[in-house]
Amino acid sequence: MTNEDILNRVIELFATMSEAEEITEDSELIDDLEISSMDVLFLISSMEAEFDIKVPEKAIRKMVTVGDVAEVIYGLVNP
Amino acid sequence: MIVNKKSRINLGSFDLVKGVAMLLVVISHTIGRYSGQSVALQTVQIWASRLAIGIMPMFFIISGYAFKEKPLKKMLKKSFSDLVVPYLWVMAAYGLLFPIVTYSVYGSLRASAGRAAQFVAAFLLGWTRNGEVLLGYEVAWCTATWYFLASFVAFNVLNLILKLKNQAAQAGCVVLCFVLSCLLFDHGIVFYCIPQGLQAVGFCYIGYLIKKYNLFDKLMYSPWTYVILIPIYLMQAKWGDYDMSMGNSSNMLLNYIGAGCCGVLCVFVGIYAGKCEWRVCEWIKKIGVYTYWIIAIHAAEMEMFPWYMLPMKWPDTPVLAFAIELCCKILIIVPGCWLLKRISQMKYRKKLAGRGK
Repeated sequence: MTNEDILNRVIELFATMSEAEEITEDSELIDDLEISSMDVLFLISSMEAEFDIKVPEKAIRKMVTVGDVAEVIYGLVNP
Repeated sequence: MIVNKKSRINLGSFDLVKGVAMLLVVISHTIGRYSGQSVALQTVQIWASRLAIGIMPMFFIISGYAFKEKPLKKMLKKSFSDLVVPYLWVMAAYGLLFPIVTYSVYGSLRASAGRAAQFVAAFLLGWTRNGEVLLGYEVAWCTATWYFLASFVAFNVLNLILKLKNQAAQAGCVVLCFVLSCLLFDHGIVFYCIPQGLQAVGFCYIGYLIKKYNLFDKLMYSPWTYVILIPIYLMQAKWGDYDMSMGNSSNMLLNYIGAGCCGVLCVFVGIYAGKCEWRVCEWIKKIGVYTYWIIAIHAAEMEMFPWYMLPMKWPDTPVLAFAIELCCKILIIVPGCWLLKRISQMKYRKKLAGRGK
């Protein structure tokens, strides 16, 4: 899976949670999407099941943008 | 590699301070029962209550930071499902579980059903003062869930205020909200946490302005922020008596400004400390993630279980009794959060699956 595929999937998932009209790689989770850490935990848990990976909670807390989420997932899917 | 930009707030920035705040809330709601019997616990209570002044303002400042103006109807709908629905769930828990727990202690079905009815009435009225008589009936109180109703009021009022494009007019309305809240608190009988919500508008507006003008870095790294805020907070801690849920204050303006200063300081110190990756900090951050759920579960357990019996059971060892109560509360809150997490995850996956079809 390429970085772009994962980014598109992450954007797709964020669209189910956020009411933001446009979601891009640079959209900030708190500022632009109004997403909380708990929302991201749910989203990550569904991605963990989908890609058979385990995302450390420390990494989740450091996420600022949608691109950060995709980057962490990509790093774990393609170690 | 994740680049954590200096001016950007990451997901975990507020978790540590929210986690500490939740611990303080649970401790301060527990320690009061034992502080009269132990000097050590009394000292802890005094310090916890001084710090606790800033907890609710801090939560509202953080909410204001994440606040986004919406069409009125949309905000009403969103805040209702996010805040009023969980509030009603806690009410349902009181209505169903309270009679069972009370019956198991007292063995009187009539008494336990009566007490449960008092709580349900208090929840339906959004009443924060325990044990008062309204229209000839004694009502209990809606416990720590007043925060949900106050947030509901605050978010909708702030959303309305932000429709005004003139910032001076916005600020004027925020001041008006504060004045109105004081008048309502003085009036005494006010339902649905309206005065608490009106007071919260000011704190949310501070958070909103900090975000709007990107003031986090400017304020956090300026020594003037601390030179100004700390003395005001200390004055409040020395002479004030702020209790946002009850509003029983003799000097509301000093209390309000002092609590706001304490709230801002808590946010800034929390963000500094949030960078720490010690194991204990990571553990507290986990608590911070589940703030709303902890408030809901804590609100349900604090009156539902007969905690008041513990000081009578161990009158000579108040510290031990306090520690036991605190541990029991943790043993209720942690599995409760785990259960709610599972339910929410299942709901979220169902929602995703529904969209996939």
